[in-house]
Amino acid sequence: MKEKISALFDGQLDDDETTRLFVSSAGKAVLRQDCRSYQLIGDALRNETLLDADITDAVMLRLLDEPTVLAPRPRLAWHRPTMALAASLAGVSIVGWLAMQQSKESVVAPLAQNTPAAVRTVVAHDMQEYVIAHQAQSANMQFQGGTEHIRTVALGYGK
Amino acid sequence: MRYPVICLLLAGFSLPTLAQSSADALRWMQRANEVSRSLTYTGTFIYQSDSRTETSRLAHVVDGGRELERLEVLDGSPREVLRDNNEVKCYLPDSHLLVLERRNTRRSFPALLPEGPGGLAEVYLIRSGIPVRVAGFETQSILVDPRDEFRYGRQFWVDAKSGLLLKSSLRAENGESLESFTFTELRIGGTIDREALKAHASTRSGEWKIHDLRSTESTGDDGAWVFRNQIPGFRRVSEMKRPSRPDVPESRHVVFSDGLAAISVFIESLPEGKPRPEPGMFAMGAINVYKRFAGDILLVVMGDVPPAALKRLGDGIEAGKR
Amino acid sequence: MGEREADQALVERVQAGDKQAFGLLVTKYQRKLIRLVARLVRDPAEAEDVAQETFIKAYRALPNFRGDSAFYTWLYRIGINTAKNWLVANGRRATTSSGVSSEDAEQYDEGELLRDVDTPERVLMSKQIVDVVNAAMERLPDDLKTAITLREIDGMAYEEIAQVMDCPIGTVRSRIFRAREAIALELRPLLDTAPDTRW
Repeated sequence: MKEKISALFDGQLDDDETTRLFVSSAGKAVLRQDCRSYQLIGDALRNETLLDADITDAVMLRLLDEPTVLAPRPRLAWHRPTMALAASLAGVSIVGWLAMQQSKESVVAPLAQNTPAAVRTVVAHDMQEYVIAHQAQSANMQFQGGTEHIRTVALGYGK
Repeated sequence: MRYPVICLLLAGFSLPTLAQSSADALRWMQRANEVSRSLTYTGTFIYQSDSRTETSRLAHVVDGGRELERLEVLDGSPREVLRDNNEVKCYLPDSHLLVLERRNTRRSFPALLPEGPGGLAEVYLIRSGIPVRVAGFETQSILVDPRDEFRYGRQFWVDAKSGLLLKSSLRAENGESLESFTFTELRIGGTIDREALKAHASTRSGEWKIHDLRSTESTGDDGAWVFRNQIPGFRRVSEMKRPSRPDVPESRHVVFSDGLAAISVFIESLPEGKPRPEPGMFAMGAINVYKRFAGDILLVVMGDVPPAALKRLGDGIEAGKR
Repeated sequence: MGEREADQALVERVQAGDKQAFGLLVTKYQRKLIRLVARLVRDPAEAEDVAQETFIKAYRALPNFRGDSAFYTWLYRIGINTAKNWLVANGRRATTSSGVSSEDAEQYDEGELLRDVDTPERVLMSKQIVDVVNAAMERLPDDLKTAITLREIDGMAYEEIAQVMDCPIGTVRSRIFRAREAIALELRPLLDTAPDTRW
């Protein structure tokens, strides 16, 4: 696992492995410690100064209080065959649907790359009240056993 | 409703006779829904969505005919949701906002359960899974697989003894977990200190704003808006007018459900002088959101369903003839 | 994956709600940012504070970052603005010791200005770290030493290193990892930091 962290640090780990590392709690603990060492080693080899400075912990502690930033699911999901099938079922022809996607050129990304144009942002606090209303209206018909309101507040809306 | 199996004794139910049929699994779900409203319990649970995790405390008390509930998020800012029967208050300290809402009373879960046409089993394949221990409890797991691409899969784990839901997850087409709740500790019954049900947030400082979202009027299906594209299994369950936001004229809120998933459609005219929101498909954890314009009207279609379902429903919305 | 793609992948993780990924970006760029900010702010402790502020601002602004530029370029601009605002808020003019204005300061070689800023203690600590790392390097077998040098000093990607060293990419990855582990082992007593588990 630690060798994967070394590869991740160099940007040489593929997406799936990267996700797995980030998601596993064992991965997380080792991740930050190792990356800290590796960065220091690199900086020292390059003879840089201020090597004793380390504000990572201070920044991350403050981030605990920040609402989590959100961005939408990448548009790449729309290129999966099941999505095209659903679109055709919806009465939109495949050609028309693809054309519609492509006309919004800033948001379509080719399959091979994870380019930034594929990701768009949503202003989370605008959606806050929609979520509350949605959850309240669907609570009684859903099967959440008392925890249904967590979605209402879980998305970390802020100022 | 008749179940072609022997009646399950709710007290002292022993696990060895595994519920195999779909009907049994449905029965477990129905029971879990009932007990979550009728039992008193407190616990701590973890909510996960994308790669975020939040721990929260939940207290639920039934007193006479009255249900009181408090949910408090323990990570990050201290958000709370308090409920007194169907009156809901959400405290959001980061934005000094108190949001008031009222839950829908008209439809409830069991009413959507019956087998036969329109039942859950038509759009989901429901099976029992193997018993598993969760938070020290023996649980029965229930697998719910979608029969089409318009809904997500789910899995539930209910306590074999009390029937309470202890864990649940929402699953995408590729098996990826979109959201999960897991109780890490749960205490059923006993007495609960009334203080545990009061809001900790202090709204007396005067800096708090109150947004009252409670619906002013239920419209029923008055034909003002037409939904040309239906999603299999989803039926309209409510339609109302509400003051959605202080700066926005009345909005209409229509809710569809298939019994497990829910889709909300908000129809509102755009406020004067404000920039148009960006249309398109967005994801907010387990909830997807589809925004589009019908002329000068903004349509927001959202729910815990795949984007395809939202797009299909949303693209078929039209103003009705008056 | 190049540097820019690697950073962008981390940014997208943060935009998907993963705060931990932001921590890696902080670890990577913190010293570079502190040095940048110190050109304007001068006092090292205050430079660290301003750098912290910059990272928080960057985190908040991340939904608006679309990857049109490299992450560090974007961070750099936020750093400069934060430093300037800080100076204004603290009633100071942005000058360096030689009396040059802040705009000009951005052009100066960072090494030159930092000599004013470092305290003797900090310079000593930095030097110790450099010494330990260099000593550890000398003790490494040649193949490990070459691999990590090409990566960290020449900034080569694994594919390039594989060509230069005429070996498979998997071998490059393994050599760099083993070099790092060996050096990190020698650094541990000097740093003596327990892992922070709060985040």
